[in-house]
Amino acid sequence: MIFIREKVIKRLRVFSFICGVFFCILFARVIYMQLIHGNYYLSQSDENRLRQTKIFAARGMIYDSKGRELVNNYPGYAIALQRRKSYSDDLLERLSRVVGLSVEMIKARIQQNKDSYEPIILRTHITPQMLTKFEEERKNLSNVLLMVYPERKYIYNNFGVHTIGYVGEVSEYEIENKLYNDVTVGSIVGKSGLEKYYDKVLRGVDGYTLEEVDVTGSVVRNYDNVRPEPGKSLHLTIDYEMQKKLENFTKRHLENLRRTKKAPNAYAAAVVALDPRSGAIRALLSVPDYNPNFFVEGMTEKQWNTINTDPNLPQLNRVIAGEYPPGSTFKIVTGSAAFEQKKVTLDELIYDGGFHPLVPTMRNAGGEVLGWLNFIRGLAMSDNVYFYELANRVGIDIISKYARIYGFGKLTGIDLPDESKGLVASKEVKRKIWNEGWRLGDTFNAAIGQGFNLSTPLQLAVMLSSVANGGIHYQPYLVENITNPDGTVFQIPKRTEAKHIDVSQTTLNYMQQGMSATTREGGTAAYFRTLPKPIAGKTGTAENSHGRDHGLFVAYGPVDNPELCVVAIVEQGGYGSVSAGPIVYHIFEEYFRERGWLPKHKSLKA
Amino acid sequence: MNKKFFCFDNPKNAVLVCFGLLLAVGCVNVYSASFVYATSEMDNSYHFVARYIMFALASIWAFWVMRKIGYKFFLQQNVLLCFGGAIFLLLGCVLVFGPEINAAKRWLDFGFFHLQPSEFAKLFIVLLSSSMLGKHLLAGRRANVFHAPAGYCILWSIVFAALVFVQPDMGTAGIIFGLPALLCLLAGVRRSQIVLAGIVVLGIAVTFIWHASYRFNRVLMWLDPWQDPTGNGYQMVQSFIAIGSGGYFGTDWGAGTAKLFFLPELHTDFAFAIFCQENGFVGATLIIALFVLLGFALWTIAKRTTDPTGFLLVSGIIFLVVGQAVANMAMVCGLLPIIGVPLSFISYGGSSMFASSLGLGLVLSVYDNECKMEKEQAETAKMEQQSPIERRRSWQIIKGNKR
Repeated sequence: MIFIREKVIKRLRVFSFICGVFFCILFARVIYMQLIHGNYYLSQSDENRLRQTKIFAARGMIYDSKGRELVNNYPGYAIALQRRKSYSDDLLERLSRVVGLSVEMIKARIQQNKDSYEPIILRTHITPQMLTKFEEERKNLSNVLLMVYPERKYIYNNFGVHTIGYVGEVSEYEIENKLYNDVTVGSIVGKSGLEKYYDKVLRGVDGYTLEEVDVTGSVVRNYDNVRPEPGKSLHLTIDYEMQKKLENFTKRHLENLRRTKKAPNAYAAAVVALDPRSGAIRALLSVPDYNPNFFVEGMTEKQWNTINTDPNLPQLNRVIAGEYPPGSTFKIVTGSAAFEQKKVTLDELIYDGGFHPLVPTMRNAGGEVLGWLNFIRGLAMSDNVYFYELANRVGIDIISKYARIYGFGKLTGIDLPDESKGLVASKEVKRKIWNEGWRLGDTFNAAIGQGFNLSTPLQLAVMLSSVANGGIHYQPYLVENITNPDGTVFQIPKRTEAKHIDVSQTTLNYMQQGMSATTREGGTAAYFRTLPKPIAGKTGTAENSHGRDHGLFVAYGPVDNPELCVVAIVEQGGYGSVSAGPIVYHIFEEYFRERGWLPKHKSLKA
Repeated sequence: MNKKFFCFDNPKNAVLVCFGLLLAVGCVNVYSASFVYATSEMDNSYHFVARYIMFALASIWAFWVMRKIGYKFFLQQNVLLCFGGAIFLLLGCVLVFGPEINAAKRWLDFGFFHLQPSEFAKLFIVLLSSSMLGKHLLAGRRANVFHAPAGYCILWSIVFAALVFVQPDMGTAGIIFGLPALLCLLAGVRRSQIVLAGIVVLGIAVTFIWHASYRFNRVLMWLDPWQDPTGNGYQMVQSFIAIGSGGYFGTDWGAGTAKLFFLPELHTDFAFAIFCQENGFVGATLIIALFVLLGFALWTIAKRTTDPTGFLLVSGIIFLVVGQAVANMAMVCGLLPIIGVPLSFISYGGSSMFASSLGLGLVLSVYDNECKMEKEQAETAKMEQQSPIERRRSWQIIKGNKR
């Protein structure tokens, strides 16, 4: 055998060497993939097969003071996109046709959500039409989910919208600026009113399911379920019946004012009623209003325009954010200042010659001349000259001080967002705004609540309640308590402690007497006599440079044991007794009827 | 020949152990990889593993039969012709009668199993090449691809490769063409011919790859599968994810996720991926070690074989069994483009396993033959040292033993 063995075996060695090198490379590759990059591939594998689906927590309910549901939830549909590394253009196009969003918007949406494991919610509030389209296309829409979520429902539409507010999807701006805690794109948050103020308690905690899915997205195994924790419910101090009657009456009344040409531009009004014994708000109304369900359901352009381009600003809550000159209602502050400083006595008569001698240009409203007046009559007749004289005696600094004591110029602390502070007239304010020195005329103006003074209706109500209850300052509030879903009390919202304001009992007594006289024969609102219990009130007319004066009326009653303070403002309503007075009258009428002091179904005033 | 091999008494034992372990691992892995698919498609989670076990038993039987028959029987020219003709016919039948699966005709439907003749073609071409090239070596000459005996095997391989290529199955065609080429290299083809062959092969490969876009895509995807993870690179990426996510010790038993239809061909070509996912680095090391051991044992047998045809046969089987396994693992790991090469014994596939077992049987028959020759030589050498009387006595002893 001449088999050239050595040579062949040499070649076999070369082969086996190459083979060995190959094995080494393979081994190195396995080490690289499994040991060095193992975690990366593991996360990829999890992303492949694990699907986390959010279960939306139902927002808490909102009830009125008698337990009637004002806001609840009902099941709505949302279309969401399963998380994937990339999506085919075809899918996005079909999807855009189904949900009515452009492909670019969908892509932007995906981009916004790139850091989460959860499905990307493309559109909430899916209409039945969209649902039909979705079902038709379902075969071609792999990785698209139909999710059920609790959708907010404002049962009585416009009812109490400025109090309750509305919810909406959190915006990019709000996420970036961290205006809400624990939100992701697509989260539903309160956007205004109580929904916003109590968003944290109302929202609840979303749950999720973690499922293992196969390549087509069908569930193989359920790993983990975290049940959602529903939000807490709010119980309001507002009574539905009373608020509803007030709303109806006010709208009707404004229409009457316009029709009878008493106030042709009276489109807006603000009314607030609170309990002077606690600060609980019984009614809060701002007209015009809007339907919060539009915000939840996604509104048409027409709806959007009616809400956003209305010159009467339906979204403005006039009770807490409308700043008006308090007008003659401010005379209570001026009067208190004068009595506290002992610059006047109850029986001292001051002569009204139609103008004040020091600033002769400043006259009474309507140019009346009322002659000699004491305080009670001065307040009841709302005589300007009398209060010019008081202001002349105490000076602007003291008036500002008492305005602040009564709560003007600062937030009342009500549990609503976006409250305004108002403004208290003072020398500094004038310097700041006009850069001019203070003059006596400015003091006179301030004394009767015009000029630089600005206050919200709620501030007036707080002042009024302090007068009515004998000098106790309560923080106004809307939410009586917060309950768990099972009905037990979760929390009573924190309120600042009631405190005595720095005004003596006698002074307050004088104010009460003056206000009581207003509603008696000879006062500016004598028609309140017809009510079964005496009411103390004060009219006001706030100067408005843009049109007719705003009409104000503040009142509390019954006089001997006050249970309700009401402030009403009718924008461009003219005299307060004509425009705002009837609204206040109506509230008391309804209130007394409810208390049993008035027979039911009988109106006192035609 | 009969010397110690590592901790084994001889390389034959090592081969047997590897063979058995690979079948066992394959059995478990086929079940784990296929039960989800089998449950959803066949309504019987044991569908594939039952068949695997059946094929494995048949393979062991064939292995034993081959060992008994001995390789020399198959190297006779008329026997080779017979088998060659049969395989040629079967390959032809595949093209005519074969059912189309995944846009390719590779199988013949025999009711309860599918026969893949191209797997047997691989084995046949190894037999043919070692027979033909062995003649060169026996004559003490280098193999020459342009001369009669060696040229034949190249021609045959081209014919078979062409038949397989049109199925289409480029990977197997490449192997059928490549095996005799490798054996030629081993049998001492001149360098000039090697270079020439290299250029020709490269040219053909490039032409074919350019010619069909899906092949070109496969090459592109091999270079960077992440550029299209949901399209062309999908299989590759999913394979990486499966292997990589195994980590050190893998997932729980049978909890690999690739089987949830993420990775197609899991129980066949991508068996290594799911095995790595479920058994982690430890499992991957075990498989690689088993093949290294098997290769080394076979290599040792080849090295110790004095019969040139036997030597070439064993080398060819090394390329067939171990070479394919390496190629498969490299492909699954992304070191080679995806070509349809099974992982010997681990992948589900009766024909492949059967052919590989036949191959191993032939190797052991070579081994047995060498042992016998060695023993005879030793006997003769011993007898030459003995006195004539003793020699006769020992003959009688041998004869007596034989009786």
